[in-house]
Amino acid sequence: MKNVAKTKEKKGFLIDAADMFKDPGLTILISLVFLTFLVFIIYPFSKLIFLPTLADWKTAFTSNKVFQAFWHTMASSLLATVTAIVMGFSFAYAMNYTNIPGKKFFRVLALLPNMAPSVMTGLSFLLLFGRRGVITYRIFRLHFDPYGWFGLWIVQSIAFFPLAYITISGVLKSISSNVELSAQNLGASGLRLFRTVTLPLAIPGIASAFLLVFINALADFGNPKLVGGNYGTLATLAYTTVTGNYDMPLAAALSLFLVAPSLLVFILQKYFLDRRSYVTVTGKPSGRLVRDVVSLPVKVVLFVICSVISLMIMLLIGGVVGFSFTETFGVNNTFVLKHFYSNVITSKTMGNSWHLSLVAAAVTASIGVMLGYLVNRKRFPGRGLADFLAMLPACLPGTFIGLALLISFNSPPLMLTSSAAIIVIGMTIRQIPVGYRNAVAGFKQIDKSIEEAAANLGSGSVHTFVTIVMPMLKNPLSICLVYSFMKCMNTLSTVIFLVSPRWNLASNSILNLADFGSYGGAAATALGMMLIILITFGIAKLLLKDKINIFDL
Amino acid sequence: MKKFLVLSLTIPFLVLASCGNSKTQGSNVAGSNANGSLAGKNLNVLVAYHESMVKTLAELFEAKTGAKVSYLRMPTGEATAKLVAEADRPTVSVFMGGTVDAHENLKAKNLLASYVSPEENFIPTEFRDSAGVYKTQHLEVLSIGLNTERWKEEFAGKGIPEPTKLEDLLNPLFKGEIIMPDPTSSGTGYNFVDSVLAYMGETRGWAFLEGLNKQVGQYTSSGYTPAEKTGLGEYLICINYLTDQVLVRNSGYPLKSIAYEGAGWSMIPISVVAGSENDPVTRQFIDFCLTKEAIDAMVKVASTLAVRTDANPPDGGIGLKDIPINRNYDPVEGAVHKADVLATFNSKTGK
Repeated sequence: MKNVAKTKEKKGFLIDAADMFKDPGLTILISLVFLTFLVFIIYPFSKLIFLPTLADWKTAFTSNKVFQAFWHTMASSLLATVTAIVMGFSFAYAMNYTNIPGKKFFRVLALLPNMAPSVMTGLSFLLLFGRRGVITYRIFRLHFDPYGWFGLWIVQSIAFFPLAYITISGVLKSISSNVELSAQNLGASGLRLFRTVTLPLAIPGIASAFLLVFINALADFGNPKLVGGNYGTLATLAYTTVTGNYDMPLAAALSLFLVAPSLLVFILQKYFLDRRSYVTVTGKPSGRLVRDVVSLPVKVVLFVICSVISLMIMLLIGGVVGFSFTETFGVNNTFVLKHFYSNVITSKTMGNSWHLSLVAAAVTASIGVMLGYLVNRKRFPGRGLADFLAMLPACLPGTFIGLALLISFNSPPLMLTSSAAIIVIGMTIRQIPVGYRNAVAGFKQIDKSIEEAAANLGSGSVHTFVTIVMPMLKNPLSICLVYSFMKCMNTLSTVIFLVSPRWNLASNSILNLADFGSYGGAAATALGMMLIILITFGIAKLLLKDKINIFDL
Repeated sequence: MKKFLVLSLTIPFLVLASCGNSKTQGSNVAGSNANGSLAGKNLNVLVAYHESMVKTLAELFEAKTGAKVSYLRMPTGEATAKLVAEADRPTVSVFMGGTVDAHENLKAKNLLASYVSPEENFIPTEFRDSAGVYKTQHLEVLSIGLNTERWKEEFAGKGIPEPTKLEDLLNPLFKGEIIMPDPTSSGTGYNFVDSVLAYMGETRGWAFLEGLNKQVGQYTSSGYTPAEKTGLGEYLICINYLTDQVLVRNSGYPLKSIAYEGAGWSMIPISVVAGSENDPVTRQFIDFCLTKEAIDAMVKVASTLAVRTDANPPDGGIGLKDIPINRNYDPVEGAVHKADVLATFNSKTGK
């Protein structure tokens, strides 16, 4: 684990460029990547950047309301991120390091919050814990007001917990147990083992999770809109600036405010992470020995934590189920199937969502892994730029990615509005950061020397990638596919401007149903989405068997 | 694995290639209003009101003409943003629903076109657009909503009557129990603030709004939410459109609507998107949406307040004549000085 002294390598732009030309496969790939970036990220985003006039920027910088929203955003995001990371790490540690009972169940449950759009889980939260919540008011007679920073903190922590859990778990899973067993043989145990071996090795996962969750929380719009109440954040303010005042330039300026803090976290993380080595997958055969590193009291504590998180998730999902199968949940609890029948069984939008999300997830996973590989393993001009561009879409509220695409691709040469393609592009752009970060965290753990050995034996970049790297990337690739498929299914803010009569989506139906008080219909649609996601995973598991990890992320 | 990789890399480009845009262009024959067959023609409509309403109209029109109506529903703000973003090449021909200020705003940006429909003769002049751009299908009227269950449990015993006029909402007992849409983000919220000023006059109006601000527990970003949260009992009283309150009540929640004196209102219009004004399908659809048949169907589906002089009254519901709305109010004027009113509102309420 110590830093291996690097042999002096020649560095510099020209050397990098010269190296590129020795490997035509790599050159083509890198050119393709940059062309894709140019068309689908740089071009739409620059359109957005040039929308605000000088006067708009002046307004944005001098308004009290904006200033307040900025601090609200920072505070609530930081709070939610830290909470989600602590929850996610505890959960991931329990899943990978202990044999507590009910692991299978916990694993499936941890992914559930990601399968329902936040419109629905938020509503469920308000119904259970709101001012007239079934639990807070009817049972305990508490006068709890969920609207504001406190409710937002709880809802966001739950909403981002799966992302933190998946990201951290992916890294914990690939830590070779031999390392810990050696440490134990040398006499380290308990907290000391955790502090000196496990935690340092988990750092890339934790840092990746922090970056992802924090950026996602900054740009989160659904939860603040639902439970923020009068606690405005930048994302909601930008949104109401568009939809209330029809002032797109000012709204663009506001959403660009979100890029600065994201950039800061991004730079800190690079500076902090890139200076150490975390390789534990060396390609040498290691029998996956069973770990036994956790003492009983710790197991009990972990079990309790997992149970509490799971109970909360079950309650929220229970609320959704309750809405789906009753006339009017909480008022008239007659069992009905009509919501489910008309919004799931006979729904066309559901099929569209499934179809497009599947394509988008495949595209996201392949681009994410390819990018991760290039940035992590190859030296080429513009590497840092590629790294930044891959993360950029996470900094902006989904609404603005959608608007930017709409403005950019509504005229020749690329006329994509009203097509299925623009929806897939929107979904992909939104999910690329997560896919890419997970791939990077995976690559950081795989020893470069395996690929170097292949290269020495005469294998080209592409060949090495397919035969050597891909099999070792099962975990990051699985995470990326699973996570992005779930998120694409229920993304709303990104696609709301991209849907068309021919290509409407289920998440948009949920909004429309919820907008007009048909909670039964909205909940049934959300539930149908969850079921479809689960069925899809089941089929994928049957087809790919052990080529993919679905719930044992 | 190799196959998978190759496949996944090529899929995006295949999708891009296969998803060309097949938008049928209407022929540019001006006003060919032969009410004949439009079979095979397609019409794209953007709509901001209830899906069941547009569905009814689309099905009737399809049966009549053979044209295919594809519609997309979005909240008013999103719909407006979409039309602005697509300005150079609109993907829809008709925009229906939303408050009048949205249509006024789009009109000012030249994104909507004027078109004279023969059916407009049946619309009272006070609800007509002088520039001939948008056509009013029905009105939305503001109303006070009250959760009857909570009223019975917590307030009936206190010896106060139910609120019937705006000033009643200033009762200290209701502090923190009132919910209304945020005028800066919701057309409904702005419609309320503007109509209060029009009815009470500037001085009294602002004084009332400042008093009300101290009572409001939450400002919401959408116009529908207050009715929903009051129906659930989270708040006691809401202010928003009557139709939203009716929707919540029809879902089974204990929400009562109270019409108040001098209530504000907005026209709910239908407009031609610029560029489609000469398309015969678009013109026929607009004409159809204003016919007695269409308006009566809307009254039946959503208990709308029709403005067409010969429309049927709603079944047992409330018609326009039964509501004490402020007849002198002009929502279009509200759209003109919106920015100033909102600036004053924000400074007076410290929002």
